[in-house]
Amino acid sequence: MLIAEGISKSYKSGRRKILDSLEISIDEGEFIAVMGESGSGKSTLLAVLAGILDPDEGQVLFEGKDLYKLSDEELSDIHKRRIGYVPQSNFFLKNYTILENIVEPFLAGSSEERLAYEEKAKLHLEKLGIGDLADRFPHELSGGELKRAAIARALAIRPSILLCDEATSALDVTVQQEILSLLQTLRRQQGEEFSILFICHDIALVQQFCDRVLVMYQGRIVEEGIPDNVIQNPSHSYTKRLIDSIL
Amino acid sequence: MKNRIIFAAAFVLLGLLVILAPTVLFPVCESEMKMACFFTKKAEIGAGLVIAALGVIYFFLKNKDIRLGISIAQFLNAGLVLAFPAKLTGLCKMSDMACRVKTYPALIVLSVLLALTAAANIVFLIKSESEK
Amino acid sequence: MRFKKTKNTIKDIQRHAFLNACLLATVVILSVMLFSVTVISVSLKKGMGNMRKRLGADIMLVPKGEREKAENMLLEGSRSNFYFEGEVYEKVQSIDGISDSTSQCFLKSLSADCCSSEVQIVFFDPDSDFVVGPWIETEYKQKLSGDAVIVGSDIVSEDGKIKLFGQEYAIASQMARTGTALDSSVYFSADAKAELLRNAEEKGSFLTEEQKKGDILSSIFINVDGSHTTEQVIDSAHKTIGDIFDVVYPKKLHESLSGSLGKITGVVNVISLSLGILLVAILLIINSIIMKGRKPEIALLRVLGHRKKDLIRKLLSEMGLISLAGALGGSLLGALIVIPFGRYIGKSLDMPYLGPGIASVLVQILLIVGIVILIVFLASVFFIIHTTNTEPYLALRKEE
Repeated sequence: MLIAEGISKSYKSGRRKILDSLEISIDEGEFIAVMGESGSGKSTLLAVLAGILDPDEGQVLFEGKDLYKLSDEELSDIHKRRIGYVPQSNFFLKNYTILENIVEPFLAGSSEERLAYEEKAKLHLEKLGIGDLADRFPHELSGGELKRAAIARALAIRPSILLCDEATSALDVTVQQEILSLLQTLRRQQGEEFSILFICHDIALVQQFCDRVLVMYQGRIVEEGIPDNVIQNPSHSYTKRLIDSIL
Repeated sequence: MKNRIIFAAAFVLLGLLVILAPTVLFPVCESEMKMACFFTKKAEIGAGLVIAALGVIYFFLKNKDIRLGISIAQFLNAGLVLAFPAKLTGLCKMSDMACRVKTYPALIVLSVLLALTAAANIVFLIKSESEK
Repeated sequence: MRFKKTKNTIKDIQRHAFLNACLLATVVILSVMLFSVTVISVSLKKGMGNMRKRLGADIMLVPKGEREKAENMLLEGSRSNFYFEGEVYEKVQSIDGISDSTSQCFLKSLSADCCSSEVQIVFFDPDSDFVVGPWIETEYKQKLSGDAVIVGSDIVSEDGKIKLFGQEYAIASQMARTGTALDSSVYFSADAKAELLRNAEEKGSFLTEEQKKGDILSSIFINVDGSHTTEQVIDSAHKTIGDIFDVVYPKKLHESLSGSLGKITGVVNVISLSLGILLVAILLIINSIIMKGRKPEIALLRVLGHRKKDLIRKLLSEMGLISLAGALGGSLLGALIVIPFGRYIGKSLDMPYLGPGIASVLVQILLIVGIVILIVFLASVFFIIHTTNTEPYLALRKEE
């Protein structure tokens, strides 16, 4: 469904490549975790895959179409309906309630469309355990609550793929677990088309939920596979170190 | 609280200006004879005193309805400030005399400002009341 | 729907209340300035143009030593008494090279109970007149009778009458506004002179010996015909009536006034131009700060599937609403100050000043709203496009 080929990216020309000729392919319905130390390019990879950061080289194919060759309209439509992205920062619009923040992309729509959308958004907020905060303003919420709201915001568009940049790292482990199991339930409910790619540091959670894990090091994917295999028999020296340090 | 301070201050200031405009800032025509503008000056001093006094009273009132009433009164007072030179007491016959050249425009400006201030406050008070 | 959109735009503006308030304040100041400067300079020019027409004689003869008074009377409308013997006019008429001539006589009224107010009374000769006539607004064909007057545009009368030295006179016609203080004169036919002087004396006006004589006049207006120069005519006048007069050149007065108008507008233009540049610079700075602050928001909206085009439209409509409100508010504020105080402005500049009518004020406001919106647009469009073109991830990352 989402295929990246030969992706390279550096933030300033001539500087170190933050992504280095990276290849990745995500199938429909996959639940994938990305691990790696900070600076290894995880966030950048997600941004490139989400279609919000133009790579220097390579292409990102979403259902066969190169995201970075689409028109503004086509790309917007994909963001509005297909790709959900949860940024690392908890950015919300001030003066708008959480619910309004989620509905914002549809504010210009008809009021019926809006109402239906609001219902869905409320449902997501409830599933994420913050249904009672829908009418609060962003500054009234804690970091963890905002993170959940951000996930609800990304889910509200019923995406085909959800890309979570450090989505759960601000939350304590039990909450992380809750959210991930919720995502898994959602995935089952929506059928096999719903894929999730998220950045995670907790090996136990990765083992519990993911179909596949990617380990990144210096802009490359140095190891990938089924979590149990990767953790028990890491082949790359960096993976070994990473697992040792976490365990 | 903020509303009370701001609008009370605005009313007092405008009231004082209504007093000062025809006397000190933009004085009416000087003449031994008591011309029309002389009476306008007297009348404006009275109107200004009332406006300023209502401003002081406004500051001490907590009840929003009474404050609304005062604001409505101030709005009408704005009309009075204008009505003295325009109709009630009048001005000198010559349009190049001080009272027409300076005092009258100043009073027009003050009257409009007072009307706008009062109207803004009326809208504000009614709105904050209906929000409850 | 449309209303809702505006409401949302207002809400968006409120989210950045402080900076948008700064923006609004800048726009208001800019509009007040633009409005005041244009209205004042247009009014001065209009007053000037009218003045030129008003000073419709080549030369004006006044008694010797009274030139300054006469000039002040023309320019500032200060009220004066100065007199020739009546016979001078007949002598002047015999001079060669004069195409038109007429005489006027001035008298001050009193600011006392007997008079509605202190005005300059002008006796003119309707038969030979070419100075007052063109300014009579409503055609007044019949000969002005002794108990009727023509008044300058500034004379205010509710009942169509004016009281001078205890006697009421019907106002037969009112003159068009000239923007000069000559608007505050009352014009009598010369026939009424004797009666008026008599009344004046009765009511306690102090009359000089000259005035008591009755057969007096204050100034003679002359147009020179094409075959003579002004100097020749003045020379002949010296020979004919002797060295008893000074010459006022109304058209030269106008030239010198035009000169000072040029200086005033020059200074005003320089000041307002530099102020305008400063304000535009402030506008640019505020816009750059606003847009920098909104980068993450815009990025987020793009992540959520807003089109660039729509975002640009949204940002521009916010700017548009602010500049519309600011320009309207600023123009109205400017109008509130400049229009009532117009006369005062003209007076303190010592310039003829003819304020604009409602229609031209409205046109002016529309014009300024247009200009200000254009300025704000130009001062923000670059930042807006830059912001919407920034890659969303980079903008969001900087937020961290």
